[in-house]
Amino acid sequence: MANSETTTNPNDLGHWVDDRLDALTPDPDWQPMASAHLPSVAPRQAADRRRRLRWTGAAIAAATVLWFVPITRAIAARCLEACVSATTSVTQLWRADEPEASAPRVVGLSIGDIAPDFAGLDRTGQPVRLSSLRGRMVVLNFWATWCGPCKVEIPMLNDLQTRFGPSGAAVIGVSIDDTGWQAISEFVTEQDIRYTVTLADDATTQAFGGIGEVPMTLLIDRDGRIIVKRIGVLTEGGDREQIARLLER
Amino acid sequence: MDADADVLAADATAGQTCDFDAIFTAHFARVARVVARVVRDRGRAEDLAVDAFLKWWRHADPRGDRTIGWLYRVAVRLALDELRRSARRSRYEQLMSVLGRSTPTPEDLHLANDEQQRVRSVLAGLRRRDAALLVLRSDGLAYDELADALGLNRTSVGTFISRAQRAFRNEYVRRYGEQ
Repeated sequence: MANSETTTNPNDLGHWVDDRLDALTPDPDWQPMASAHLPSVAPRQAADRRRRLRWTGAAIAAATVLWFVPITRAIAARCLEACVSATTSVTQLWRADEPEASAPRVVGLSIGDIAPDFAGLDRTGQPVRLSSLRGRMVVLNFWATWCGPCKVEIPMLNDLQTRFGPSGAAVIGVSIDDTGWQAISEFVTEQDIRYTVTLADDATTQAFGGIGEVPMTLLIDRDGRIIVKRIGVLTEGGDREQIARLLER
Repeated sequence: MDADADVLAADATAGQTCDFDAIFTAHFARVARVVARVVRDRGRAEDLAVDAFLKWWRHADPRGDRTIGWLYRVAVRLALDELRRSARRSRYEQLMSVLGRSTPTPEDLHLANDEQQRVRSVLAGLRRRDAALLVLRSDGLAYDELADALGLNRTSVGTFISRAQRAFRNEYVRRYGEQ
């Protein structure tokens, strides 16, 4: 076979193949009639249109049910949230793996940006400066005493501080209250907050985009890059475990 | 392609709405004959040609002068898929007949020695693009038309044809020896 292939002239090969394929030429007397088949096409097209219409109707009905019935809407919202969370987690893990050289060195609040610096004092009057924590993983949680969901996160943040504090990670709660330290100190004691708490001044608030919503949590890597950003309460399973996984690295 | 086809292709290029019935009437016979090169049964070939037109209608977005090429590609692919299904069924039936030790019918013996059958079984064993190229070329499509139909670079069509021919010959000789 190899010999036949190498010794065959391309023209001969072409003729040889053409000769074989000529056997497939349909009988010239056979003329397929378009007019015989055209009438059968219209009903198939109509059936196709009806099928498309049915599917569109079903999709609209399903969307209506999903939207207007509270239970299904809640389920759909949960599913959507889970999908978004899973996608974001994968993206964030991937971005966290990017080599430093390819990472953008831009100060901002998007994933991969360098977190804006801020400075403040903790409850005991010790200075807290974000840039001085380079080389350590930082969980930065913006919160307020009047914010109900922020309270829900406190045990999770305590847990992260307990588990990862000894290995160098820092959990910092930045309060945006404008009531002063007294109310915050009482709240910290009452809620048994065991991580560093500091108070945001105007410069900090401005640097972090005004902080329109709390809670907001950022996970900042050892180079100061934001690798996780969550606006809203952290979920017990997904978010906490994702942050814990990254803190373990 | 014939004059009607050229006019229709030109209209499509100009962005005019292609009328399904006109396209169907102008091209059905040729598309069916292309399919009939691959599928032995003429009735089935006509059905597959209709299916190709319906596929085109379902995805009816403006394809300009590629409409006709798209039709040929879909038609030849449907035909080759049918051929492969038929080849698989035939292998299965052969296996069952060996297991059941049934005697081949005179029709089986005739088909086994039939050149058309041989060529079709070789086509069924080739890569789909190679087989489609050979079938469309044997139907008389020019290089430009082949490039449009199969989405190939126009300057590479000759190379692809040579490769397909070599593949065909090798497969044919492997199955049936030098003829």
